[in-house]
Amino acid sequence: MTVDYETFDRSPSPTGLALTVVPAVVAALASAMFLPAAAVALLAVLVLTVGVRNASRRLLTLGAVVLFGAVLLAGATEAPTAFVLAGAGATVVAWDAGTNAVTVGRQLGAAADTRRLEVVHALATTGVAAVVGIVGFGAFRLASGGQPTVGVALLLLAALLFSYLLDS
Amino acid sequence: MTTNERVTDDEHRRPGIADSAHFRDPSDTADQRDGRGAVDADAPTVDAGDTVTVEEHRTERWYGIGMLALLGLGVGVLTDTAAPLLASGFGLAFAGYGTVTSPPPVDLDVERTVADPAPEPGDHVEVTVTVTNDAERTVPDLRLIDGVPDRLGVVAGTPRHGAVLGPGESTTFDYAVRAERGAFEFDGLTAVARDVSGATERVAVVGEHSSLRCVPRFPTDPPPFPLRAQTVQHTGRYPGDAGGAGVEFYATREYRRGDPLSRVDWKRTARTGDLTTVDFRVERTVRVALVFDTRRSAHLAPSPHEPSAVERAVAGGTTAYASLTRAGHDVGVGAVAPDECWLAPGRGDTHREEARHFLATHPALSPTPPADDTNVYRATQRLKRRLTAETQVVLFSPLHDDLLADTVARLDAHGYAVVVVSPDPTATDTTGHLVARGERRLRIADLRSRNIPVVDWHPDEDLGHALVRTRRRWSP
Repeated sequence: MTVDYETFDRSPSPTGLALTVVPAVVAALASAMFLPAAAVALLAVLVLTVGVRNASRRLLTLGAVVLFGAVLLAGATEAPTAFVLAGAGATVVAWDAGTNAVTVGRQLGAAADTRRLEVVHALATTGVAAVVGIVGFGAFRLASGGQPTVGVALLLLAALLFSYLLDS
Repeated sequence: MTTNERVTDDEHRRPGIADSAHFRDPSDTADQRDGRGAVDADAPTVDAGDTVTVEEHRTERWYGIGMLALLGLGVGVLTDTAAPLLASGFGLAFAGYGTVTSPPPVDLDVERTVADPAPEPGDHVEVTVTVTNDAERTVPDLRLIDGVPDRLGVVAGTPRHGAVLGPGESTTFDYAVRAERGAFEFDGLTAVARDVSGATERVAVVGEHSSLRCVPRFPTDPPPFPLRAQTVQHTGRYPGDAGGAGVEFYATREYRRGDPLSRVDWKRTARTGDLTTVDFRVERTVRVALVFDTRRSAHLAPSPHEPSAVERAVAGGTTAYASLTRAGHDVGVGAVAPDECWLAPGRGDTHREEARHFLATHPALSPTPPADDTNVYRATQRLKRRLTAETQVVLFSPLHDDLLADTVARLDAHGYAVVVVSPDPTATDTTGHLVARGERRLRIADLRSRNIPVVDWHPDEDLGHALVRTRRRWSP
């Protein structure tokens, strides 16, 4: 007599996979202005996907760093600043969603209902990334508009935040 | 009752952690039990008395993100472009993200409902868990793992669940376990709460006691269970091998002074002139002890997916109890186990219920192998002190080693009539297994040569069939 017991499948959920791959593709598209960068980004998306599928944090981090590098490469050539900022933000979101999916998979397994948990987490990170991107882009526009005082003020603010972070 | 009293593990408490679980009046969950809860008076209950232990640690998942800032700065400075410089802001911002989010509150109320707290073995029992956030703030990332008893397997759904809970919100998940013989206690529910960035993690165990008690019923129509010939004093239903008062004719003999006149064979006296007494076959009540070999080494099965010899032995014992008590005998239960295990022989409704629960839930008869080795000599001595002289022993053992076979022979030599029921745990897949199978056969042959009946019970056979097969060459 054999009984069909449920086994614990600790792989990340499909939701986690989607939440990783979609921002990664967005980042790759943002870097597509420069062809070599686009090629590297495509490779990075592949590594990220494999990383989530295999629940490997190491591959995820590698993919995210390569993707970030591709975005910077595009930024160092002729890509518009807004694209670069969007790409960089999307990279962080992809890495965050990927590593989160790995820990959720390890703790709750693929069979558990984790959609809301993962979506809320990814949305929060996306929100933070959006704020950072908008502030950065605003600073860029203001500073490049020939107002060095704004640049100095932002530099001071950054220094303050930095010292706060080092302290905490 | 204050919260602090219920937090058992004070060391893990940190200042400012508002943790508590809620003590509920047992009556508010009693009505959630379904009607079948009344089957067993002592069966269980979804009940309150929660405790929480909280442990907080940092996940360090954002560590190293600052590297992106350095990367951006480097590329920006080297290529003299603004965009990478701005992108480095993400590295800095997310390095700070983890430190500015505050740890999530862990103030949960857990309610677990076991659909049928007294199922039959093999039943699928649905378990529903509802978790409510009693804190004032939202828990943005809550991972729940229910404390399913180790020996129960999950057959549907999963006892794990992820949720985002606002203040006062609750989430429900359910799964089904397959009931096994025995008494089970659910462990507390483990809750892992993270803040929105995932930087801080709090692990709490929210105690919610529920139990499940799976006590198999006795078979309604058990096969007749053979015993050995008996010569004892109490009148009963077992046809003994001795003459006396009874129903069935046994023998005639010469009249002895004191014989009741009703048993004098007057016709024969008239014919011969000598007084003759008729003896009838005396029917006896037999005291039987069902003794189980539950040593660690006896937990054997032909394959990991099949029930172990002990599990089969206890199932067989349940049948034997039903059959023997129906025949009017007093039946008790004992075990060759590390710990004391004894239920004195008896019968009747009370004893029947007692035996049913004893067989199902006594730790020595548990399907889990005991941690300690058994001193067979001491266990046998203990057993012998319990057995009165005329008690018959029905020993359930896989006969996988000589030790127990010797014990059987010794018990028999001491005058206890022993019947051995041996669930066959041997397999034929490897040479070693074949040798073990052969050795077991030799042990059985040896016991049979000493006139000890051995029922060799194959894995895919029911006990009734094995008994019939063995009885063809039974020599009581």
